[in-house]
Amino acid sequence: MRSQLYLLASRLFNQPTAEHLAVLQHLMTELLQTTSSEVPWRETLIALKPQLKYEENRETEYSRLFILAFPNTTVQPFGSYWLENDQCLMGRSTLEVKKMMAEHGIEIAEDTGLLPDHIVSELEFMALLASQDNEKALQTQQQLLEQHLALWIPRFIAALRAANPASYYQLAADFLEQLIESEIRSIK
Amino acid sequence: MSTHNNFDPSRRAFLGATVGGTALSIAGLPSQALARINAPHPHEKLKETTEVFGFCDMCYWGCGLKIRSRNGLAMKIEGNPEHPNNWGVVCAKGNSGIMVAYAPNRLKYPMKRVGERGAGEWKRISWDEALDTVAKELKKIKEKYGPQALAMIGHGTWEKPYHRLAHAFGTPNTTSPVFGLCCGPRGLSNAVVTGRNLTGNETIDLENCKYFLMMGRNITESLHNGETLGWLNGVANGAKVVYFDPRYTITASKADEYYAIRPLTDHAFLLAMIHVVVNEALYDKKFVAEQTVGFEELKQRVQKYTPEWAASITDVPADIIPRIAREMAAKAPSVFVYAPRRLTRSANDLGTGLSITILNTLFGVWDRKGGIFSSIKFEVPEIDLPKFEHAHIAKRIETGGDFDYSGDVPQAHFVDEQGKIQRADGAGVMGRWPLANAQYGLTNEMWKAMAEQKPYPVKMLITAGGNGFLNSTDYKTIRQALMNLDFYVAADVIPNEMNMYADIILPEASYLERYDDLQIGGGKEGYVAVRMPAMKPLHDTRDAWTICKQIADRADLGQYFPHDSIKELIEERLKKAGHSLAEIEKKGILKVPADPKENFRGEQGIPSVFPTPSGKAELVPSILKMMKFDDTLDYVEQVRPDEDEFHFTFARIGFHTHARTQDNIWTAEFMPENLLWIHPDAANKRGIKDGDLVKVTVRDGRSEQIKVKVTLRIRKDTVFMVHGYGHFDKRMTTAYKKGASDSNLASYAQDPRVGSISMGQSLVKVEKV
Amino acid sequence: MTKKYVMLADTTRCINCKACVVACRAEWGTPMGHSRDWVKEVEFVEEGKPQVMLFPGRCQHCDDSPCVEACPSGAAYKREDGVVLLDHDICSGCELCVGACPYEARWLNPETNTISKCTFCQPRVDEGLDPACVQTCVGRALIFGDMNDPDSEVSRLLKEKEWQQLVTDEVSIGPNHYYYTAGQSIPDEVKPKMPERHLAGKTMEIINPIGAIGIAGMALAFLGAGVMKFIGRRNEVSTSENKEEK
Repeated sequence: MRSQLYLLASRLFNQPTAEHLAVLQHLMTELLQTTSSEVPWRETLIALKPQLKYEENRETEYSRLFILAFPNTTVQPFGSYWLENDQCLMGRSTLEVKKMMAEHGIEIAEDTGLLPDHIVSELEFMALLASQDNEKALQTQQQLLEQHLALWIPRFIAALRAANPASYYQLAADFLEQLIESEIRSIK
Repeated sequence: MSTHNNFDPSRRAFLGATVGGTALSIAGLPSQALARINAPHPHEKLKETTEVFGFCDMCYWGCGLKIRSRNGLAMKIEGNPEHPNNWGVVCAKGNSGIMVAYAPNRLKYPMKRVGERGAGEWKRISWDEALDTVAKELKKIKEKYGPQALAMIGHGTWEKPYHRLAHAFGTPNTTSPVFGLCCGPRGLSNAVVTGRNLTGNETIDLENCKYFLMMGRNITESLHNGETLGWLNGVANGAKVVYFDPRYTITASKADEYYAIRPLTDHAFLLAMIHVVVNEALYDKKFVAEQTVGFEELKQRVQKYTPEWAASITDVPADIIPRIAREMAAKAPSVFVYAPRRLTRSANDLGTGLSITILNTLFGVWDRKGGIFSSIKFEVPEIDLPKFEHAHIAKRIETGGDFDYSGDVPQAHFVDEQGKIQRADGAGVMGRWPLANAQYGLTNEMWKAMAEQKPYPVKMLITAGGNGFLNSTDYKTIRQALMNLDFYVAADVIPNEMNMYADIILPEASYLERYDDLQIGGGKEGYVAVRMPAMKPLHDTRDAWTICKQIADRADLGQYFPHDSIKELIEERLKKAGHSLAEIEKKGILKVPADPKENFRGEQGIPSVFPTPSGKAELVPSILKMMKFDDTLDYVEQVRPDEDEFHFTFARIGFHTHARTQDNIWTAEFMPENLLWIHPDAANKRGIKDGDLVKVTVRDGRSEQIKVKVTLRIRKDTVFMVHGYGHFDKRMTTAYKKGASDSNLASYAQDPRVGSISMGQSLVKVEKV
Repeated sequence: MTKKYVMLADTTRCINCKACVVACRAEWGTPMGHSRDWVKEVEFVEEGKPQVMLFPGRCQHCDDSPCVEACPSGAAYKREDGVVLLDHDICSGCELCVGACPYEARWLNPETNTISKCTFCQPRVDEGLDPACVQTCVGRALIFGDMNDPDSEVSRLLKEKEWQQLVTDEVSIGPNHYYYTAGQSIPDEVKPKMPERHLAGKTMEIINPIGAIGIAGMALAFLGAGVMKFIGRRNEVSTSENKEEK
């Protein structure tokens, strides 16, 4: 369940290609069937579901928000941008995440063009860990959540909202916020 | 009054009473300093790093680098002590190369334009889609207009494959700013007088020179490591420095004599120098008699240029001219008249360059100690390639900005070629800009050709690095040119104002993440250097050669890129030269030792080689006479500001390269914004105080706003700002809207004979905002 | 013979290119907005003419270092070879040393909450390398070495030329950084400042947060027992980490 939620979050911030959206639709259907009516993100998911159709505009919107923005500023989807004093990539925080991944025997696949602390990578890593039932996976989740995601995701979301995103990304931001807030609460 | 402590090893200073009293009374307890000295504190250990070698891409001098990596990431750039371009030292720009790799706003993925051109709406696409699209557009352009409708502008140490791609495609229209926007008239003046090349990594025997006459060559701030270090060594060895500049620069602060010459009038001063040197017979008589032609004619031509005449134009006192001429004659041939690095300023840049070359030649500095030496080249053959349509243009040298006038050039490049399409920028074309170098072209004229679609349609553009807006001066023409294109492909590492207009963005790996073609150069030693990757590419980026090969393969031009990788190509080249990649990777460089006999033929009494029509140094160049361009030798009146106007000047500073490093966070911190330098008297007259915001307006209406630095370090009739600021691309998150753009104020007039831009002719008004 | 490290700056060869500043940043990963070294460009007018002097600077590694005196935790120390260093395991970040330094060479690193300063690149020097600033210096204006070695370049240069230190009548604490200015006097802008005074009460207040040591323990720290304590604590840490590292 948590695993699927993180996977959904990860996929929402991947480029909205037709392929990715197909996966998202599948995930969403599964999630909506299994989630209880009390979870804070249920409404968000219901609102998002009809939007999981491929549109070229959305790829443009994705590029504008997260890759190469003009005239606004890119909402950098990298942890180190928000966590490092110099806002540069591959900082200490990135290496920490890379190390965590290595400890679980994984690394970023070379053809993705992603860094370990790209939002997609970190959320997918959480999804993987959440699917594992052991103490080490639990520890790493806590560490990644407390020392990384909880620190930068709120700032990332604020920047995303400030960039006046299309409805799809407003909802994606809502969902991510609800997920991370709930996770922080449950860890405490 | 300063305290002057002569060195005395036995001297031991104690805390002054007041200070000591305070320090010792902390917490009311006695000091334990001595005990602590011996306490076994753990000393920090240097973390292990791996090292690879490379050469720098932060400017175009090409310093040798040693790049240290940790955890597979480049963390520090140091100099390669073996490399003759820098001997192990690296400037702030070079050190800051690290932050090119890690900048969050790098171009990370191939992008396709989706909105209006220039509106900045893109979509990330795959490499396959990007390369297929480029190849398709190339074919379309060729079918519709012919190959000459493709232009290619490169500005970086990795631009070579793009030139090759364009040449293979069949267009003559490849260009780099180095000629038309920078060094053209300077390189050309050496070429027409001596047939020799003195442009890129200049072969000046700096350490042994005894007298530097520096015409606005701000060598400490417009710096190149090896050159600046060599010059400082020369000064430390006792060289006298006489420096001319409207602005008191750091170089001025190192000079024995400094003169705040009137802007644009260097030529007048130099002509008077020649006048004195020939009239007082201060020249090297043996050299002039045996190795030059045209002395008598030169003498006649400069008779009117007396020191008094020059003084009235330049504000330089008349009496210093004969004195400097005599002092130099006494030290000749270990003297050097130093041209400015960028000689694209006045209404007669070629004339200025010529007078510098002529003076150097009169002092007989060629191939002499402390003068100009002959370089030794490390011979590394090119790979075998099919013939290029425009072979003479495709014959570019390896790196750096040397203009290749060797062999059949300079004559052949302006001789009409039967049936061949001429360059759109007119470089090397009879009736247009026959003197301009056809290998590098006139970038300013290429933009104009695209903006006006004359003399023929140029409908597709590939850029490799560079920034047409901030390295040229005419925003309107650049914008028009970009809007006129059917298709524009930009390859670069960072976003900038120009690549914002691209239809396809090809993200280049940074120079720390890739191999590149070999760097081949020559100083007193010849060398070949390698660029090795210090880390894997962080993003979905590729190196120039791979990109060009993959386009070429798709555009049926694969035969020009016969290797599978750039690594394979350089391996083959090294093998042809009798070496190997493994060998060069040990120290990053292979060298042929210096040979004083070759470097300084003149010291052995061997005549210099001057590949001119006469075979001698031509004091009145026959090429210019033949083309009736010899009037460039004469002084041309320069623009003059009205009472309420200023000359507008700009220049580089030590920690920035052109307009390409302002967004680097490590270099940006030293000067968040540039300032307008203005003399206190001129400021008072306008009620302007230090730190005030002012508006600077050119006669043609262009204007910029900037804060003011009131300083005695500038002439009353001149204002100045550091080049490269005033970026208007919001994607440049550090540099955006910081300071003012000198490029939007500088003039875009042209040297009437060369066609290169003359940026120094703007006259501006300054008013408080 | 014990080494004594000194830095020489030939200001006639300095061009304010800032290479030293960036090389230091790259080597030690100092956070933006702070630097362990600097170049000061001093502009003045002499006989109506503008003049510029350039002073590369950093910790002067003084013989009598007020920072070491001021440090309540024993983190600031001077090594036998004269290099003033900082034990990051002990440093509490109380900043008493910051105000004590007349050269403004020390600052609190917001990333580590410990004090940062020039170490003469001790970790590099211990490996036989030059400090990063010296290695990169475009004008070769910076020269580093052991002045107790009569054959070293610094010894030779110290003899050849007339060098000055940045001292005043009030603040003359034996800096080991020498400047050559070709006879020009040192401008006031680069001379040492009078260090701040620290009131005892204020000191206590700041020191107390160190933790479990308490007032009594703190007194011991000053008397030497604290050093033992710190060594004990340090033994728990297997390797010394460079905390500023990227």
